[in-house]
Amino acid sequence: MSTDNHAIIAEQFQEAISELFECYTGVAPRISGHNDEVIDSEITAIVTLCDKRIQASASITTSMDSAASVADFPIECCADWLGELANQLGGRLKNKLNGFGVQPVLSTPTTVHGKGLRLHTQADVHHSLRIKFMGGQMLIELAVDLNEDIQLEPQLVECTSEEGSLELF
Amino acid sequence: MSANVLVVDDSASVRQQVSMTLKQSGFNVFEAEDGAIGADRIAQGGIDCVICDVNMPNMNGIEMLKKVKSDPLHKDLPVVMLTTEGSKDLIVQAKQAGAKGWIVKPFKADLLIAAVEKLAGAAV
Repeated sequence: MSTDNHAIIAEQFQEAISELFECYTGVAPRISGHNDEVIDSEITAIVTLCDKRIQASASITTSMDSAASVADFPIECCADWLGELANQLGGRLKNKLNGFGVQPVLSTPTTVHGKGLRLHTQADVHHSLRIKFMGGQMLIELAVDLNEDIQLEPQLVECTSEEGSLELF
Repeated sequence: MSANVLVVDDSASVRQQVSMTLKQSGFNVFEAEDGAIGADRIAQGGIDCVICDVNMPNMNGIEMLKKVKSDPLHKDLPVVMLTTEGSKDLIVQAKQAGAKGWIVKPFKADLLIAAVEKLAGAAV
């Protein structure tokens, strides 16, 4: 299996994280690889992206305070907000993968309360990223399985609209 | 007279965020947590514009849009989809089903307000 596909997905995932956080905080976050250092965490939101050729799970693990600090409005329910953030991150990655000829379905986010939760899967490749921004930090993980025959190719025709865009008909 | 806007989304945070944005611009805002509840609220009358998510349990946004547009009383009600979905094929589907606009999350407040002012203003 080509490692280029995984490298493409990793790059698109990091871009999606950076763009999403910049939308809300105004500044691109610092993204680094995560070792097993413990981070302050109380809550985890998970989404999946699947089709016949790709199966991926993405999770965001953080504290309530860090999650709330990303929002540009007062948060009433942190679990719901983190789930929505995971939803928007998954959606952004999905739109990017559309640009490479893949159309995965994005799941409804699931949010779990607990300290030190981590994504653990049997997936081929697992990315763990520490995200630092003004209000705190998060652990964002992506586990990916790809079919042997997949080859991600940039599509010539633009097939998705940009995040934040408005079209009136 | 302020226009009445219905926000339909299964995420309480998104409903809160959109409501806050629109209320600050003088709109009256009502909320529904899925397409079925949204359709029922529209049927009660008094709504001038709808902001609606696509992927929701119970009844999704496209299903709600089709149901609303099948009612002669509400066939001209402007509905703008607000969603993470950016697929142009899906946007075309929504347009054919009668949507008046499409916003990809996260939304920009000035664009959302401008869209509602244009569509709800035309309706009131």
